[in-house]
Amino acid sequence: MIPGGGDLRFDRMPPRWVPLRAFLVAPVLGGLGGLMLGIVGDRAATSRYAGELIGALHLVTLGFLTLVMAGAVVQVLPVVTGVPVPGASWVGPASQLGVAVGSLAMALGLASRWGVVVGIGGVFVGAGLAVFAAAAMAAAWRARRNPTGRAMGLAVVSLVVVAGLGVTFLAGHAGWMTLRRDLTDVHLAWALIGWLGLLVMGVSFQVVPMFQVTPHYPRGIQRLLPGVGFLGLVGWTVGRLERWSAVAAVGAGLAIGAMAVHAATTLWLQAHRRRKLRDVTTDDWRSGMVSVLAATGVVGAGALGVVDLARTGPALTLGALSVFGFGVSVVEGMLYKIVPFLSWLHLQNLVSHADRPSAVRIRNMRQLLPGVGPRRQFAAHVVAVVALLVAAAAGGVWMRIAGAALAIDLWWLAWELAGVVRRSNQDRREVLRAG
Amino acid sequence: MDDIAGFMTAEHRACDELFADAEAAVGAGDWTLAEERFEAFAELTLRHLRREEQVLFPAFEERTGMIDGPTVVMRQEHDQMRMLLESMREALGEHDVDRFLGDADTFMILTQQHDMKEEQVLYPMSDATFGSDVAGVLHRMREV
Repeated sequence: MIPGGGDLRFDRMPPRWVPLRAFLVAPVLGGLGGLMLGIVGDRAATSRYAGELIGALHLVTLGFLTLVMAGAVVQVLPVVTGVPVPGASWVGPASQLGVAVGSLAMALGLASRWGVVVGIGGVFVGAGLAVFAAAAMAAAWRARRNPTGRAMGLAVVSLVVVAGLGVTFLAGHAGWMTLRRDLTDVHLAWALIGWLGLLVMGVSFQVVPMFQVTPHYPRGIQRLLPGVGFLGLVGWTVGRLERWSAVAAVGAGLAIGAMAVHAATTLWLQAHRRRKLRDVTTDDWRSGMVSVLAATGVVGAGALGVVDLARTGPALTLGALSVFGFGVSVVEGMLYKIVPFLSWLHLQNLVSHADRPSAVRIRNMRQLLPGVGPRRQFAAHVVAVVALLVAAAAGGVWMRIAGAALAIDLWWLAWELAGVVRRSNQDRREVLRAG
Repeated sequence: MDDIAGFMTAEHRACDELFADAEAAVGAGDWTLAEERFEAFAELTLRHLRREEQVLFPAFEERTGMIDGPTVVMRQEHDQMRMLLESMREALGEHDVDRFLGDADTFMILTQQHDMKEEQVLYPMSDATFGSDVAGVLHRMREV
């Protein structure tokens, strides 16, 4: 045993197709969510419990966001903390299969009110997430001294809460048990602040300063903020379930405050970044952080009694800001870096093992993903978020427009990422031909 | 900065800042300034790689007996970095903005994930492994 030693097998990464497959399938599934919203239109906005709305939303939150986030944890955790996810070679594919098939089945089942299909979807999603969560938690526990590892661990614990509640809801929709709608907000809060928010927080501590050459996040923020957010969620949940309104209010303040402080800090760091060149990933992150602050404003308005968050319109506004404005923006920005880099790395490894490495020149990341497509796709994404916000307020035909805009947003992303794979496969053939 | 992790991590950050300055000059189309900044960045980066390859890695391998461990992957990535540095230098000579920035983006991600692995695992392990000999290893690295 070497003192201070972590696991040293840096090169034991899963094969490139394991994460790439998830990263390519995810936007296709998310776009299906938009299509579903476009087809059912205003019917989805009649109530926050409309089956079509829940189905479409989960194609985005599970089929797109969670599929990518789980893939990224398996990929990023070993690099950032030096601790690999155990069984990564089979955990990745198994959890991807469960989440992808399950989210599709549950969306179709919820929209068509076909209970058995909803139940099957729940079994697939539950099994896929259980496999992922067990492996990721084991790794995060070993990496708990690292702020990123700790935040990722808390995010995965939150995912367990979200998935546990989600599976019981699906069993309720399938008619296998009582549907506990009173727990919907608990599920939502743990999904958006716990799983999504804490994971982005943990990743940002490493990724923002290093890739954009910004100052570091203050040490206190790195050490405390994920824990404060998590404890806030616990406090809010206990206060709500036990009807201790003061505890619930303090908990909500801590959880939402942690998100807002993180967003404001990230925007401040980005404003002081040394890499000044514009880049779609920076734009995606910035719009994500602005959305968090806007969502905080909506919650604040709710707390002051200016808006009633129990009404469908404000609830949809909050959902649009946090899922699409925050989650989808940040994940899109990350995919624009991860997919070209993984493809380049694969080509580079091929070249270094070739007999005549100098005989072929492979494309760099920008040649694999020329900048103009992602910039236009980002504009389409902003249009989709704005259309969703208008739809949340105005309803009517705007729900169809927003659904179509969302489908274009995510399928365009899929097209850009598929272009990276197509170009890297061309280079791959060249390398193999050159021996 | 009395340990390997502190010294080498600070040098990583210094390289990042020189890199960002060179990239900004290319983005602004100031080729004379870009060349000057790029050479400053390349010089420090290459010296950093030599400090590791000539002193740290051999000492680590000798002390731990791990000749087939993390240092192998680190050396491979150093080769990839050198190749990209050379390609960036060519692009500078040809005033090819797109190629330079594309190589620069690739270099940045390759380097940052490489640095994370060194900072999270290799350097702390080296400090722990060398114990009271850390000062000697640091001294030899500074002389490169």
